[in-house]
Amino acid sequence: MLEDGKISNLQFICIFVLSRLMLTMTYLSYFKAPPFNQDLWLSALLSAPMHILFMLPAYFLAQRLRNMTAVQSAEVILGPAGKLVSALFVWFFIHRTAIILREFGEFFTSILYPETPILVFIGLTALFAAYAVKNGIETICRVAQIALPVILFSVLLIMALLVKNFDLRCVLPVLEDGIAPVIYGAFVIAARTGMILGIPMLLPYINIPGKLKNYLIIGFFVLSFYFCIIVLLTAGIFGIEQSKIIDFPFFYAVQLISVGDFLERIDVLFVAIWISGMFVHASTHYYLAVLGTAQLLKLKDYRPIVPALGIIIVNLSILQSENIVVFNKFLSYKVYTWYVLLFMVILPSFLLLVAVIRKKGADSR
Amino acid sequence: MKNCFIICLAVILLVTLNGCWNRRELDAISIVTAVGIDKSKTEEKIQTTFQIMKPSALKTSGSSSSGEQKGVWTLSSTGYTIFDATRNATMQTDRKLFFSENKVIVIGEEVAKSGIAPFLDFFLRDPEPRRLSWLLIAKGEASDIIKAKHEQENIPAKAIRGMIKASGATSTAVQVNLNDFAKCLSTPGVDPVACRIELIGDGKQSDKKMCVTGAAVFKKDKLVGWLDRPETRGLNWVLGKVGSGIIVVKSPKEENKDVALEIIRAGSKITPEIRDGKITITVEIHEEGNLAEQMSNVQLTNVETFKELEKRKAQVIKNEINAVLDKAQKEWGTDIFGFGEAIHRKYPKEWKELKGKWREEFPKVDIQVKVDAKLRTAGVSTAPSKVR
Repeated sequence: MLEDGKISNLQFICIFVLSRLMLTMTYLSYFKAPPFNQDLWLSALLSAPMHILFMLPAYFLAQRLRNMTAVQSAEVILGPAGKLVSALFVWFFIHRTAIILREFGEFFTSILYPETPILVFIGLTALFAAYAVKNGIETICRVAQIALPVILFSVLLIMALLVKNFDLRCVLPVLEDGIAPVIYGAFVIAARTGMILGIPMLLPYINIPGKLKNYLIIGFFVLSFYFCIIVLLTAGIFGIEQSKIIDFPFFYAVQLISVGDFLERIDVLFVAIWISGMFVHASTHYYLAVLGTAQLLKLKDYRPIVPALGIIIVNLSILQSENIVVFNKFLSYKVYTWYVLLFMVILPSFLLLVAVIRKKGADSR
Repeated sequence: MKNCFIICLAVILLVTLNGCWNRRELDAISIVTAVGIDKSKTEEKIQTTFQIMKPSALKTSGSSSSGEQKGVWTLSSTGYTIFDATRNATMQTDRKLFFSENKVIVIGEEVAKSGIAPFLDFFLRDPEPRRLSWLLIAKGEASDIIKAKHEQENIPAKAIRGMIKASGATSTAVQVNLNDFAKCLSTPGVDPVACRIELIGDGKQSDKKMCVTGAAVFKKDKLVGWLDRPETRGLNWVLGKVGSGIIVVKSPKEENKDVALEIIRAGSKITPEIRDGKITITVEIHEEGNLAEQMSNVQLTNVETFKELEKRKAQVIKNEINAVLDKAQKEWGTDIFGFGEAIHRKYPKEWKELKGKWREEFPKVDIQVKVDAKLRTAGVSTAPSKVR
């Protein structure tokens, strides 16, 4: 096996929740997607069942071939043609890492360091992530285990500090345009959880894979609860219309914290916390990209290709779009949702179907 | 070999990463405490006036020797846009202007009348200015306000900030920051208001004092009129933003003498109702207060007079509200109370049709005001001291 480490279910769910939450806390693009009105918090709550729905193909595929990652199982299921599907999975993780790094960089260059070239942030993060990846999945999990409680707590703290600016009437009227846009909204939110593909990638390294299901469901509910808090806070403070315009609304909400004239400007403190989360987020995807590549090419060790892949990722992350307008267009719900769904739901469903027909892998029942 | 490499890397990182790329030391920036925006009188440009902190003048704490020295420096610059004017100011300052500490944005009357939204874009888009800056509309030129002195505070912007916060004691000014204003601006069914600031007093321009009172009323993003102090409190009653204040009524048994009633707490409830296409809005005010002072020499602390005082107080509140409702509905046709939002919340279906024509519909809306005013205590003395 390429990776000797073993992680626990709790550690896996820590990475999972952390990487998903980081994206929400920085970019928070949900306001720019359906339902386009104050029902967004309902979409956020409904994202939990939607997540479970999206998880099913990847989860059953993983359980069917428990000691193989998605990249390996594609080959077992489809034969030599499976290499193509494996390559697609690897591409997905490479591209995701590039997107994460770019988002991270855009966040810094547009808010905190406008004159610094974006390459500095992308390069430095990639450098540190490469170090983490070299040390294996266990290391990344440990960081996640430390960072997640801090971040979960800090969101609650932000909520407590902002509660006086908060206008609860922002949730009314409920279901203005009916339930359909709300469900579409939940669909869009859940479709951004590309980490679902991480389940079949990491299941072979989980010590008690049978219990993962329960952890995942708890994880989804924690996520939707936090999405709901973040969405409500932002909408209550800026109003729905302003939230659609602002690029990093949750960060700006933190900027508005002003308690008794002395507890102000704690936004930079939160940037420090976010960096730790973003780091785990980026290194997890980086790791999966590296692991997938090594398995695709049947290498004995994945460590030598870490720097090589890192260079590809950094270049891709800069070259993928020339400016933030193009980048945001790709990340908009009309494009990115379907892009992720292709890798996250459609390909695993296809593999699962073929596996059932060709009777590959053990039945998990 | 490996250790050597790590040590080299550590040294390189130590040297190169010891600061931020965008590092700016305190002596290399001009900290702006207030910005004023006007139209230039001589050319077709925007004139911005900045109040810049002078850290050297603030250093001497306690000693009265430098008491005469001003803590700030004001300068004006012009440009085609705000940002253009801001950068043009560096030709005079030798340092780049720094906006994160900016607490006050003052907009001139003329600019406000022509539409304020294009002038706010810079403050909302640029990452440096904070959305917590107070937004004020100057009666007259904004540059006069920025240049005005304040006796107590070394930094006049701090005084403006203090005055806005202190206005809670009278509730006759509105407290609106950039975020509130932007929120109102982009929400259908509510028009924005902003605080009014003016210079009062006679004599030389430099002797005039700043005064934060009343409100500037907008229709979309254009200034349409001003509210005076009682009208502003009327607005605050409806918005539920009255914190404290004094209501003066005539004494029940001596009609030529005044009684001051202090507001302790107040709240409002806006209930819209649509029946057969006719919109009725009920505004309910609940107020509690104390008998704080009486100029008349009769005993007011008995059941009947307390009832009578409550009745008179309710009438005063009602009059204040009606005055502002009248002006907003009849004179300007601008919904500064957020009644449209209230309808949106209760009748989302009907609002879809109303949304587009709300500003035409608003003046026709029937608004009922119900005031429930209570008196609770009467201070320490139960009766006026008898003059014998």
